[in-house]
Amino acid sequence: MHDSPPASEPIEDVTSEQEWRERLRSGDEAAWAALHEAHYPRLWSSVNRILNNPSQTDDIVQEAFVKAYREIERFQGQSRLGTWLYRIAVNQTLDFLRKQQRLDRWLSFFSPLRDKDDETGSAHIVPEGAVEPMVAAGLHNAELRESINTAITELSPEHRAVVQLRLIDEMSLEETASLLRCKPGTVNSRLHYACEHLRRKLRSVLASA
Amino acid sequence: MNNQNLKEILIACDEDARARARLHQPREWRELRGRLFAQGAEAEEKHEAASWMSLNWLTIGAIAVAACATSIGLVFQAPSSGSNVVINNSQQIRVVNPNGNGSESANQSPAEQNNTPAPQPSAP
Repeated sequence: MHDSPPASEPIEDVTSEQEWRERLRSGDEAAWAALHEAHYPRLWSSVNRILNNPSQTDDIVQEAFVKAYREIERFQGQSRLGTWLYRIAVNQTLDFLRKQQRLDRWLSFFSPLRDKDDETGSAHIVPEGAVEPMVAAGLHNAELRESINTAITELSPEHRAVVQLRLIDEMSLEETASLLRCKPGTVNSRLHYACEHLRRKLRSVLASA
Repeated sequence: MNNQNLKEILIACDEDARARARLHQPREWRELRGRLFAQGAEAEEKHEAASWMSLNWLTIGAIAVAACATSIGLVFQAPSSGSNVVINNSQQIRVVNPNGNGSESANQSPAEQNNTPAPQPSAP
């Protein structure tokens, strides 16, 4: 008996991908429901990691699906459906961030004091001092995760995006640079900075534990 | 702690986030389905309504044009037909009046009027 793939996993088989794509193109509601079920959690997690704002994440992920629905005719299948959808969502997120940053620049132009309030970000992270190489076993998992989540929110959106794309979603250096519209060297330096920051935070958490 | 350890922790955090996302995925899908598929039906309805409206406007426009054309025709035809009547009448008057019959018929001459034989009863 042939078992169908679980709904939460992307379809691995290329033929199935093609079939799925055709069904999506024909506006098959069940196919769109399956696509949403399979990819929504990953997209939501990635977008929210970059934005750090659940309600905006809901909006952006939904817009990504709407855009995919409109553009499915143009999708030729050079990449997998999940990758294509992921790129749409990340692009929407980064566009949103760029708009936000432009708006912030305008607002800071009109109220320069606002800059001082924003300086609690990544630029002012104070290293807690060197800690011996630690073992996470001594720390409760939930606490550790909470700490790392907090540490990530202290990073700038650009740094968070690099962490998400390169470390968690394992995108290539070139593709990450292309999505973020920066040089590969910039991606590497941001990643290095972000990892260093996260390591310091973890050290301090483990030391206090 | 190397990058690999950090990555493992980050992926574990990501799993938590995905699990949270799975919880509200059905609600989000309902909303999205409303946008994608109800939108199509709505657009069709709007398109139909718009085509009906345009048809109505076309009908109204055609009726208006026809009404204008008719009224313009009446305005421009009325004087010329009136003059014809007058001219004809004047000709009739010119033809009829010299005999003093006072007949108003334009086609019958006075002789025809006087000499018209009475209908004869048909023979058995």
